[in-house]
Amino acid sequence: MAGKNQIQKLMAEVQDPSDFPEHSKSPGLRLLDSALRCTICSELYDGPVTLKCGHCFCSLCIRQSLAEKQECPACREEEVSEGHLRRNTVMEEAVTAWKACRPYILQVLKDVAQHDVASSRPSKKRRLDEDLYEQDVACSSPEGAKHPPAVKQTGSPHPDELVDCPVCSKRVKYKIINEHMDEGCTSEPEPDFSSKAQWENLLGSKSLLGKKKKKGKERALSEEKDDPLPKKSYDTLRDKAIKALLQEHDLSTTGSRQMLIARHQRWVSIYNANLDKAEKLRKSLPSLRRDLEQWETQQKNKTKRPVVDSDTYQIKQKSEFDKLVEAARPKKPSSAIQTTSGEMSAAPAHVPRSRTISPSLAEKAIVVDDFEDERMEN
Amino acid sequence: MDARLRRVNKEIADCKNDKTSNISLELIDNSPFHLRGSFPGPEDTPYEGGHFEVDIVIPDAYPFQPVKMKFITKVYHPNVSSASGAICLDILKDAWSPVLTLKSTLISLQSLLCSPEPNDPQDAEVAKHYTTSKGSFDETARYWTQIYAGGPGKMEAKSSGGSKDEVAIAGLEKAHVDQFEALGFPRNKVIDVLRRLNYRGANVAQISEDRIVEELLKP
Repeated sequence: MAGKNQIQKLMAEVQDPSDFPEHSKSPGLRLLDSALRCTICSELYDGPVTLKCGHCFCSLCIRQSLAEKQECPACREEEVSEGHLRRNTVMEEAVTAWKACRPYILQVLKDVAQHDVASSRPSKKRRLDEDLYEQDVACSSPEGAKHPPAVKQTGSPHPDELVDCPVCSKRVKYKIINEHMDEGCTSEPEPDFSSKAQWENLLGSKSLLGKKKKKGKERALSEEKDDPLPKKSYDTLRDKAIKALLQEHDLSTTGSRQMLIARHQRWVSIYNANLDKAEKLRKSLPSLRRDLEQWETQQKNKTKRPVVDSDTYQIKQKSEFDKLVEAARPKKPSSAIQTTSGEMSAAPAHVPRSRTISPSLAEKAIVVDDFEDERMEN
Repeated sequence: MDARLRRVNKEIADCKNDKTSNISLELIDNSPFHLRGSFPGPEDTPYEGGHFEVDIVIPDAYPFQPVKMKFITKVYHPNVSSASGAICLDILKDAWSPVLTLKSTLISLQSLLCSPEPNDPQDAEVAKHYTTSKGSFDETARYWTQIYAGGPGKMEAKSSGGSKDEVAIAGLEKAHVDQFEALGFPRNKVIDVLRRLNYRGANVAQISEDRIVEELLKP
């Protein structure tokens, strides 16, 4: 059956908690994986934020949800708004770490399962795990090899441990060293993590204070850059003003007023959601713009095109209409109305009760009598 | 792959992996956004033993907009249209929340079968039947489960004529229908009028025969 193959194909692409064995075999792993997932998109949290009720969602997910309805999707607490969102940095760090070790754990579990078939001696199993671990480190991070002392001492640096970037020799967290180098060493390491700053913090040295003052202006600038975009009330704005808003962020100003508004709304959402991520995980503005374009093409494909030429449409769809009319005819008039105007177009397979309608009435198909008045179809 | 497709894939996988809930999902055509869900009728209800199928359409704005569901299998229930299968359930309308899933929504439908809400009916006639004579309603619901949802039933009911018993489907007494048919009215019309007037159970005493004849005489 085509349907079944399709489902299997779809399922193969899915990454979800069921990748892990059930609770009895590997306690907690499945639960851990699902605990680190947003209940709206069912992906690992991307820019997690918490509402005042304590429930956590991806920033973009909850912003989209709040645009529909101002309540917590999980507990339905009311009167929540985007203003209540707080970054959940701890969750974000947990997710980052989990993302890094998830494939490794899956691999280990797979190997253990294979190994268990061959032999079940625990001592050997352990050896194998260690071998695997080193292998994994070696293949996943060629940089690791360039720092033999660090690797040899600990097997592999802790993801949060700071290592020297081989290119720019800045201190960078081990888990993001690859991204750091991919971006051409542009991402600044967090100042608090450099050992110098840490010592200065501890000692409360004056030099740091001086530095802070000197950097005051820069700081103000960067803070300004980090401010979330305000929501606009588009009804009060003219097309020109909306276009100006879009231009401010180098966005396209083509399309109808409706499209301009939708584009700006989406931009505000993804821009603000991006700010809810840790600085290192944020996307650049050009890549946010690409996301927006992608979203827009998706929207275009999704929205049904309005029928422009109704005559040709009717001719094209005639067989479909005839089918619907045929399906509706022997039924009560009320169900004819439902099937033709309702959201679901397929007619029920069975007809519960037949009723003789005079041919002239059946022709019209829409007949309302007192019986219909009694019937409440909400 | 967009977020909606990724999420739907996961939900289908979730249903496949979950063997305990007895809820199944399959594709109707090649789109993952048009599905058929099915679940067994809940125990200790007139729907017990039946297998109920639901047509599921996933809208573009899912999960921020509710899924569209309607019964494919005919169900005799106050909150389900007996003609179209349309469902009256708050979470399919304004009480939808994006954390709800296809599985949880189908489970909600299953529990809707357990606890009808006749004060907010989808099918007013069925609701009237439910509120006035619960016993007769249960019988009709069981009969529908048997003939439409493949539920177990008394053998004699199944063997009584190859065709489905229209009187039983309408939840009426055969004697009442025969009585008015004997007056010369077409059988279909008699069934229709009696069902509309809810000529069942204790209600029978409250509706005069003249009133029924009057209705029957209307064109």
